[in-house]
Amino acid sequence: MRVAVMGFGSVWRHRLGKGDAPSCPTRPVYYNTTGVLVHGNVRQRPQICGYARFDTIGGFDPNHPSKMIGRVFECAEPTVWMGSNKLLFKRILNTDERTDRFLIATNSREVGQLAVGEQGWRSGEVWLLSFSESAGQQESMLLMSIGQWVHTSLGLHVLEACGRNEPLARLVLQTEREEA
Amino acid sequence: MSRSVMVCALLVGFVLSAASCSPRTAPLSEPLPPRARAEVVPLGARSPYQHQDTWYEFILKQLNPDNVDYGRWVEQQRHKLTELLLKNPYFLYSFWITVALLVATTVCAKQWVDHRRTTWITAEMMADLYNQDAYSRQIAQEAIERFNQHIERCNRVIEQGETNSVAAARDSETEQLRTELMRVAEERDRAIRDRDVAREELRRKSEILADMSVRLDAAAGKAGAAGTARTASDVRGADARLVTHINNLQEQLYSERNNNRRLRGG
Repeated sequence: MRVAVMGFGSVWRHRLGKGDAPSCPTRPVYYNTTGVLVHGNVRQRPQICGYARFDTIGGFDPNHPSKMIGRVFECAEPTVWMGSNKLLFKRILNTDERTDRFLIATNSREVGQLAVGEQGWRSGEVWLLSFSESAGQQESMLLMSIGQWVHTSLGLHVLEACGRNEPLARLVLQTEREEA
Repeated sequence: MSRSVMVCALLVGFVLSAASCSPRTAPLSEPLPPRARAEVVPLGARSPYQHQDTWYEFILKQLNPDNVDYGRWVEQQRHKLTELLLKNPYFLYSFWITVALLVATTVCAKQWVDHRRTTWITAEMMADLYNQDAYSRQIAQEAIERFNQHIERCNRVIEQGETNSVAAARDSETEQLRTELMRVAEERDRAIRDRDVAREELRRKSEILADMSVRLDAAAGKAGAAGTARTASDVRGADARLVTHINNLQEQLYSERNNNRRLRGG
């Protein structure tokens, strides 16, 4: 599966590399998930726990995460491991590769409150990777394709492509009347 | 100093007055002026008593016993000098000639100093011009040498281009080979990266397999039906439909939690 990264969650964790053998050292691994501000600090407050895993051996540059925006990764199929959703980003592909899905990070300040769990709050193929909520603040990481949508307190948001030759997409607010 | 002189003069005066305490018998040897003599004689004749001089008259007589009129003498000498010098045309001529010579000497000295200063300034300007000329010649020489070397290289290139046209073909072939080498190097790097990724994936799967084996052994030891079902669901974790179902269940769980919280008034 090819996934283009359109945003990251607020919480990063990492595991330093430790070599099983001197000739084959492992590289650091970075985990990204959602979080919300609690008393000025970013806390995870997971309602649906999940994370995206990035391996530096696959080309991920932790020192410049903004440069990873718009890049296409080869990913494993989404899995559930130890009660948490997991999406493994294996390696960076060329930007001209066909993109299957987009990793979208949203928060309630930009798109409004997500009505998670309610009937028809999202289109069928949208996968909610991680979801955090605290004191009315929400942040979520969604795996979506072009044309898929989510309902929020502001209205209907549809994922639309915004790049000609680049794999870029964004959530665009559309009214329910236009949807009908 | 003047005080001591005064004291000495007073002592000398007292000594002389003691010596001449007796009345003067001999007349003044120096002749007095006709007027003073005329005044003295009738005074002595008229006064029945002898006149006693004061102390300062006595000192003046000791200092100027002849009673010379020095003021008149100075006036006579000044008048004589005026008559002899200032009204003498030779003296005036010499004086003005001297003044003219002094002025001329001053002007000459001033001219000489100015000329010397001008000479120094001119010498400095000439030195600057000489240095500038030398520097310009040096720069021009270097530019000419660079130009000659450049022309020489151009000539050599033209000669080589005319004689060795095969060399250009070799260069292009070398460039193609270099490009091919870079492409092969990129492919090699990509293959190495894929190999590393595959190795990492293999290692991770080995760890997962080992963990699953341990869990399977533990589950087999318990021999429970529930444990068997949970292990089977973990094994099928990669199934997309199951993942989607789990995701739906997670969302429903979150929704139910919210409902419960709302019902409890939280």
